[in-house]
Amino acid sequence: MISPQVFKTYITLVAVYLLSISFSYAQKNYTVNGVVKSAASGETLIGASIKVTGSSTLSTSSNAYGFYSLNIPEGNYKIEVSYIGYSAAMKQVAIKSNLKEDFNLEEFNNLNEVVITSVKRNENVIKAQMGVEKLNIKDIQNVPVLFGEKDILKTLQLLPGIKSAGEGNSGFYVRGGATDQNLILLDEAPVYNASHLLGFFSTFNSDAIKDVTVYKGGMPAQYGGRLSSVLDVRMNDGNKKETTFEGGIGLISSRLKVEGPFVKDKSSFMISGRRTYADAFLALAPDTSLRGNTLYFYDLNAKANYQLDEKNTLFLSGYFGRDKLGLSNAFGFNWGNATGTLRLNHLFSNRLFSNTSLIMSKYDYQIENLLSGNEFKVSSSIKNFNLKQDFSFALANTHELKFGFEAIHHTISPGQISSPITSSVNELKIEKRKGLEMAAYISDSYNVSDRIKLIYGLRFSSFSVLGGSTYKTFDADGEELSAVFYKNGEIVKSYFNLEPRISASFQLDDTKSIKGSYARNVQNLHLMSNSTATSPTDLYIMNSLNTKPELADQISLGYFNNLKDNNYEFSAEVYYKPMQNQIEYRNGTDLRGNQNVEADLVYGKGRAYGLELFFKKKYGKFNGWIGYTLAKTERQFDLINDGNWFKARQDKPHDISIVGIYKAGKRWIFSSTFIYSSGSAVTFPIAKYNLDGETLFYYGERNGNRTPDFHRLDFSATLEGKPNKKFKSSWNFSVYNLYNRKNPFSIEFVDNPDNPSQTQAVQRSLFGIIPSVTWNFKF
Amino acid sequence: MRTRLKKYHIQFLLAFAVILSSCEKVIDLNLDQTTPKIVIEGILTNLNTNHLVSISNTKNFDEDNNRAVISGAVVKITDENGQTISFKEQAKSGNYYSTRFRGVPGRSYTMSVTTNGQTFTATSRMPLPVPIRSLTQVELSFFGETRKLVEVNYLDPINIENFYYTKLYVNNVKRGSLDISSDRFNDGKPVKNATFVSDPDLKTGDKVKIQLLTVDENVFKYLFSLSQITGNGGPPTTPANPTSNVNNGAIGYFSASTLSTDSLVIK
Repeated sequence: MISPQVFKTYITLVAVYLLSISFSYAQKNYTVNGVVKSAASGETLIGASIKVTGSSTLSTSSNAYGFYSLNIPEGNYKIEVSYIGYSAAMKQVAIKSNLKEDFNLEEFNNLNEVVITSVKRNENVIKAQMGVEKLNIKDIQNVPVLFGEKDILKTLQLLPGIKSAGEGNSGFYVRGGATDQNLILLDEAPVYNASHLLGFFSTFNSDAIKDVTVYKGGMPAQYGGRLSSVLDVRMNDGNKKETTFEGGIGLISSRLKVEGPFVKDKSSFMISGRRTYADAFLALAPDTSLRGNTLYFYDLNAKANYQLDEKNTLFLSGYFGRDKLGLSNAFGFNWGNATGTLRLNHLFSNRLFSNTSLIMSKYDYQIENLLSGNEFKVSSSIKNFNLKQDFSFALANTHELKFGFEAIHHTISPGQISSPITSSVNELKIEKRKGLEMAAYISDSYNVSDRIKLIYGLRFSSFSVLGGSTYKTFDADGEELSAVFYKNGEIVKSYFNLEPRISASFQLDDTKSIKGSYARNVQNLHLMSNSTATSPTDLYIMNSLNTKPELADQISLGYFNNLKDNNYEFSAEVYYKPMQNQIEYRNGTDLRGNQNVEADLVYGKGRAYGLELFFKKKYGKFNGWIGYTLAKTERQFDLINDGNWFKARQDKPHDISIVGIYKAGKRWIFSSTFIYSSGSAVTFPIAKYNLDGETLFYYGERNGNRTPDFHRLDFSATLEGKPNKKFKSSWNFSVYNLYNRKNPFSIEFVDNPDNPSQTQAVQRSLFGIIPSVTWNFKF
Repeated sequence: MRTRLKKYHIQFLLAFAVILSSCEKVIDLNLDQTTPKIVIEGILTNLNTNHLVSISNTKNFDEDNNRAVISGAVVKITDENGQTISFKEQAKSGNYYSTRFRGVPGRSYTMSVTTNGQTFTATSRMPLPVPIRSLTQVELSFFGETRKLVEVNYLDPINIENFYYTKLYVNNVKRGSLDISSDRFNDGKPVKNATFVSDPDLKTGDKVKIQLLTVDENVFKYLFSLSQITGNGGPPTTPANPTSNVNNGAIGYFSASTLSTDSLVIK
């Protein structure tokens, strides 16, 4: 924690330093700025590389809105713009005044025999940023997945350092972090629960997604709020050239997307929807009682943008998704996320870009019990309103500044039970919790020399627990010490944190570099789950008098090497991440409808370390990657496991992913993935006993055992329709779990039904071999 | 009641998985072992009967389920006024029975077990009785199966915390998993607790006997933790050994409980 005075001093020092940089350049500099777009759709391209050929210090990349700005000394240059999946564009420019230069890149056709770019990209080697992965949406489309339902979260889990929380679970663990330690942003709005159907699918409909970037370490200073990772997902803006329809019909769901211009080249819209119909099978069931049941989800993504003038563009985007489960006349359960983002891009000058965002995000669930005499309805929600201001400023030809601030107002309504007077259930309302999270940040991307690149920054964050309810304190045994009601608007307690972030690269030669990074991250919202599986009813809590912000410091080091003319990419990264103020619950805690949940929480620390190896073939008919992770993650709590360090639930020592994509001929794409990982850390019995006729178990060291290994091979084949037609269609055939491996989902210890005098371990598996077919179209 | 609800939840998940494909197989895990630990279960009720304290040792997972009984222990229960009830072992069975005796609600009792030179004690206060008003047979349709259930009806006393342990017997065989509940959501209300039995489901002619025991908070916490591990009441939690009200590291519990019994024949 740090006082505001220290922070002010720091900011002043930074400002003085930056000014000195500005004045130290005597040479005459001019600014080139513009937007990088797809030539076919007018869709802006995020993270495209803009380089002045012959100089490795004069380079930048397009921001989240496709905008770039670069300071260049007077002279004649070639500017080269490249983006994965697109042909590079090159322009000869004479710099003798400020220049506006937009780039329209041509997309490679999926079916081009061999993709040859004039530029082989080596940004992965040069850039200072480390611990970052960018998913190519095309790769996502080609990677086989369960039910042929392409899924960015599932594909992300094929990268080193990002691990699946288990089959049938969209949750993921990044570098030893828990599932709630990932900041998942959809058009800047945090998504609280990124899974559908109890974790079988993610909330991201990849039709609507333009760009996916995940930071595993060395997070840029503009991101904050979670310990382990940032997943920044951006939606498509919509085709600015022509109206197109795109969709797919699959075994379990169907999708449709419409996008097009309102005013050609100026404004556009995109609407994309998806619905599953697992319950449609129920309706066909011969048993009539099955037909009253519901089991489905849908989601809707929509976005519109309007270019007000040369300097101002307005974006409005939203997401709405809902899951519904229902048992006729007995039970209903629905949950979902809603997000909305309103943004204004404004160009103050050709060097100063501004984005202002107004964001809201909400997650809620309702449970309804209809059984006569026991009727009740439970509702719970978490929501936030967020104002965010970001600037990027091309300060000098080797410095690019990013700075800004945000204020997020959080409200958690943990639960409310309503019931008719005739019900056996009493009404109950658990007090709302409110909090205000504020942050300011500044970072400088500095190309120090041809060999050294640096991104360094600082984030100052605060969290104020707000009044409007009663706050209690508890001692180590969970006994109440005090209870005070704080009025609305009153500040109960504030936490301040400084989060330094630095990432640097040292280039050994054109294809080799060494990088290092350090980042501190702070987390103010915490997800409580007392089960071994994630559930839509898992409870969020925020900082309070008892619960302090979680802190993580991550140090990582990496070696990056591109081989064979940048056709192959190799990297090795190691990391060490100690974590403070981690949260667990006491044994036997009932988190449901619990007014004093904090009495049941215990606090401790964690540590995670690991090695990640990544080898990727980027270009050619055949491409793909191999990732390997060796990792360990542990926790220590005075009141758990006798105070000894124990393996965290997310501890998986070995993890291997192999992805291969092969373009055969003009119309076929084959792809296959293989994954192997160590089993989950679980607690098994070491003895058994009998109470009142029931066999019960005595357990050993917490998470001291492991389920059997997990491995699986998937395969997919895509047949593209005949090229050069207005109406394009494709067939996707995929097989999940090709060799029908029975992977463990749960292990139960029960009496042997055939011989009740014996006990046995029973493993339940979810998915055997599952073939599926999807027909996709576009016109 | 919300225990019920969580049951739906997990069954939904499983039902969904089953629709897709799901399979179970017995696996060999080669589990660790530990030195035997003492297990004590004692229940004293408000009925005039011979109360039972059972004492045994834990066994390794791969051994059979027959209890490793501990014989020759000295067992007694003392009430808060110093009155002592002694227990006698029934033929080296590890089962120790008291003389006929009626526990008094509101009174605190201390159990003491001495074996191998070590003494284990536990104290429990008998809550006020809550009688079963009636049992009702209901039917619930669940993913194509219509199941017969028995609802236990009782009136929860208002403004005091109550904890319940419901035991279910079908044709005099104990069935169902640990059914532990509190009045956290039902204080002062007429409660309908639907008891679940599966494999095999209840059928016409089955005689169902229900015992409703009131337990104190420590016993509730112990049994509730056990029920959470087995996944009864929701997705299973990370297993841990709950804190027993018996001291010196013993497993099990001693409960002074009131008991109400009722039965019904399934139609």
